[in-house]
Amino acid sequence: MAVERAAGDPKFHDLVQQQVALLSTKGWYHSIELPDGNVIQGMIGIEALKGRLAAFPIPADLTGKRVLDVGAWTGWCSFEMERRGAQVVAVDCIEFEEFREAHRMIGSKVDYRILDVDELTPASVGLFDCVLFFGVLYHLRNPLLGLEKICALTKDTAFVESFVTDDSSCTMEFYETNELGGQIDNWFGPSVQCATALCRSAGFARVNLEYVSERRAGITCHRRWEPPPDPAEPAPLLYSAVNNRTNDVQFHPGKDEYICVYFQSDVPGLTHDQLRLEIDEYGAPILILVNLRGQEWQANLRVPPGLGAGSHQVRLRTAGSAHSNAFTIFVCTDGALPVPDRSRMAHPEAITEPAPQICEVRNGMTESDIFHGHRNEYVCCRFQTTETGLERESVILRIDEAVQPVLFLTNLGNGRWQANSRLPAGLTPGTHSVRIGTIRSPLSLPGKIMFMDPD
Amino acid sequence: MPAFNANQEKLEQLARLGWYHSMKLPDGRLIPGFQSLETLRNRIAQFPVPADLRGKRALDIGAWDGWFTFELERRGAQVMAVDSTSFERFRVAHDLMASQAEYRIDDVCRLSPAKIGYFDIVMFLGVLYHLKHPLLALERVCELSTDLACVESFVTDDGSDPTAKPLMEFYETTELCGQFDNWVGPNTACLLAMCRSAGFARVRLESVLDHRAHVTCYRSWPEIETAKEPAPYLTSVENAATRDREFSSTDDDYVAIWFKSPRADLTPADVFPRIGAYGSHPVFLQSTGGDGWHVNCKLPPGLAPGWHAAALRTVDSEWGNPVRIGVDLSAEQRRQRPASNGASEIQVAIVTDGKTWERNLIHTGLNSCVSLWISGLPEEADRDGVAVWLNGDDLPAVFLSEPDPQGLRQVNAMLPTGAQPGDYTVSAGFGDGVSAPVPVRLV
Repeated sequence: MAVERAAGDPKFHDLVQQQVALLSTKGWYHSIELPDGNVIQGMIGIEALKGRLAAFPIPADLTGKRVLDVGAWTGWCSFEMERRGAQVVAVDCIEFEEFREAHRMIGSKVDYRILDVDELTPASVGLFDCVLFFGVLYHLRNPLLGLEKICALTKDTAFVESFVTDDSSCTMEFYETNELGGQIDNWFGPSVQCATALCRSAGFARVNLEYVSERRAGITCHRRWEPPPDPAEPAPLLYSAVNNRTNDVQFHPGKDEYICVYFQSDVPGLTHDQLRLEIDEYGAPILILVNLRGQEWQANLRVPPGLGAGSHQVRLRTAGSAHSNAFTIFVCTDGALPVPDRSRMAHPEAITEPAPQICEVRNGMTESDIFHGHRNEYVCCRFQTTETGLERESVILRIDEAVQPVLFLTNLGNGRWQANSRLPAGLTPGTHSVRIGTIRSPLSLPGKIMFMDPD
Repeated sequence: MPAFNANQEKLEQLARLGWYHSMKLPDGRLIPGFQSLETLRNRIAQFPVPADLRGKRALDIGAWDGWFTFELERRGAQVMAVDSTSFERFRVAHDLMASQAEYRIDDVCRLSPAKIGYFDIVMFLGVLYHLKHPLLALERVCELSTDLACVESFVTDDGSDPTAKPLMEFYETTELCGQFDNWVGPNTACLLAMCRSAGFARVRLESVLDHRAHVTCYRSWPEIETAKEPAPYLTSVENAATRDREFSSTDDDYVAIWFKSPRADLTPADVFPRIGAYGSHPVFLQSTGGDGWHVNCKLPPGLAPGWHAAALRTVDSEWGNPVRIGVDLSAEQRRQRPASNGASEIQVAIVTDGKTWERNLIHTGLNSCVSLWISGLPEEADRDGVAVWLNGDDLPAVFLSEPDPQGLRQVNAMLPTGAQPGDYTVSAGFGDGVSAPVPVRLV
């Protein structure tokens, strides 16, 4: 538990109140250096501002980069990023006259926007190479949501600075009113451990604690893994990546959804910290890693923020290996999942490969061949083919006469594959045929499933 | 859909599917689940849910197999069940029970009155600690409920320490029970504080049983039987950030209320602000000298767009005078004025810049303000009844003086930050009376 709490500590309270009083007389929060060499003295001196920035690995040359400064206040960080060559957007929840004045005096081109953190989206402000998120986190009622918003805007690195508590476990203090420093705009005080955990949970791949000093912490959050080393370990084989609620490859924009990744790795005793999962170029931390049997593993992770509609490539590697094969997932609303082009299979000259052979057809929920029409049931068809490099969109699954969208395809190895689909609507009780083919092959001989009405 | 006649074999098969809630069927038979009927009845008995819910709308968030949904329906409520993923067992039970409950698949943070309407009672059992944004979810629950919400959650303590500081554990992966769908573990003090902070007027801890806290959250203050002290008099109500009378339901807005009360010893626990029908507890209270007080409270979630009355009472008083505030106003609603109460001929005698006192000339920019001296206002006119228009657009009146010796009353109103320089007209009104427009120049 907390050894010493900032909330309720009279010394901390007095310190904050002194700062508030000072600010109300000074007006300027950040000091600002003007082009003529003069300095507007603010509550925080130039040296302190430089010191805080220097604690983060922010490149000295930001030419060609887009940088976002969230919670810009008087704007010292924004103008410093601009000085380093970046194209800067500064955001604050209320408009500061001092920012505008400094902006004018410096002749700055920084784009100043008045927006809440909740309103920051790739659509409203675009994407950024770097994001500064200084002194904002503990003012948010939903701190993890705020970090998710930040992550969604970040292409490369976010720099997070926050008040932290002294608690040695992973906790947040909640401030209902003015418990922290006598101010009503403080909501959550995370411990250091919690602040870093929140950054990872928000979707950043790598999170590095830079410093903890005087109840403040600096954290660098990377969206990408470190570059892969010269491969010393064999690359994993990625079987599949599916929505853990629906077992298919479709994910819904804006929902809190999780990817279940099945893969094979020869690395013995694989652990969390050795895995490098990525969606497109973005790394993502995993929540659980389970050894299913032998070299077969399952890892679950949250869909990282900011994935737009369309297809995305899931890959993984271990700390010492090259990348695995890629597996395609889709972010789209229901009914928008791409399905095979049926016109291509109609041309006999397109058929160049022999028909696959069905090994078994199962109800994915029960592993029997009996279906009841339950909503979560899916058809799981395992088949053998001489074709290689099959893709989900090149496989055709037909139940009786109805072509069903293949929602999921995985290579089981040795020419064996598994394709999943939903049942067509309106099946009558009795047996039904399931056939599988590709856009280059005829359909297989039929497999059988049994449909039993629930009543 | 008629209930189908389930045979015993099918029930056993369903039981093998893994029921969490036990389910007593209309024909008397039982689907045994992980939680017994006794356990389920005991869970709902922790809350003051009326036995008769006829005519009420109820919402069951995180319905799972649906026992609470069907129980609320049995008590007469019209029920909507919501879950984040579709459960086949719910659908089977729904058929077996011949239930009329609507089943909706959605995430709690995406629910809104616009999508699913309002509910007299909201059940929010066993969901909170599965959420990454618990306070956001409680705000949604508050927004959807018009009377009460029953909140049950895992807590890290037994609730017995009344001085415990609000603290919430965060579970990055599988720290809690090896499950990766647990995100937060509040202590009891934190759960109660978050329920209050979400916007409920009153929050009552019913019990903590085996790390499960049961909290009843009410949207309104109790009415008092007989007043023992004079009602407070509201002198001003405004948005604590923008200093006007307009609020946004999506901005975490706070209502600042200035009032007079003969009580010299008020604490936040003695002050009961109310916006529309919803109570909102004070987050800040200070004496402003004499009998003057200033209290801030959160704009309660769930107010429909339009005008609402802000009011206040102290612990043993009646409600004080209502003052109008606007929430998510449309341009049309913004122009709506209160009904006439006999305004006489209103005239704008003088218009000046609110800071420089320059006549008929107003400087635009931050905190730009116009002052009008008006004759003809009725004696009972209050600040919130007085309208000021700039080219017909409503400007919030932020100040109304008492009449000067000539009978003129000063009204101050803020200009929009983005007002463009140019020639305009200013007019003032009260009730049905509207003054002739007076020309002003914005520079």
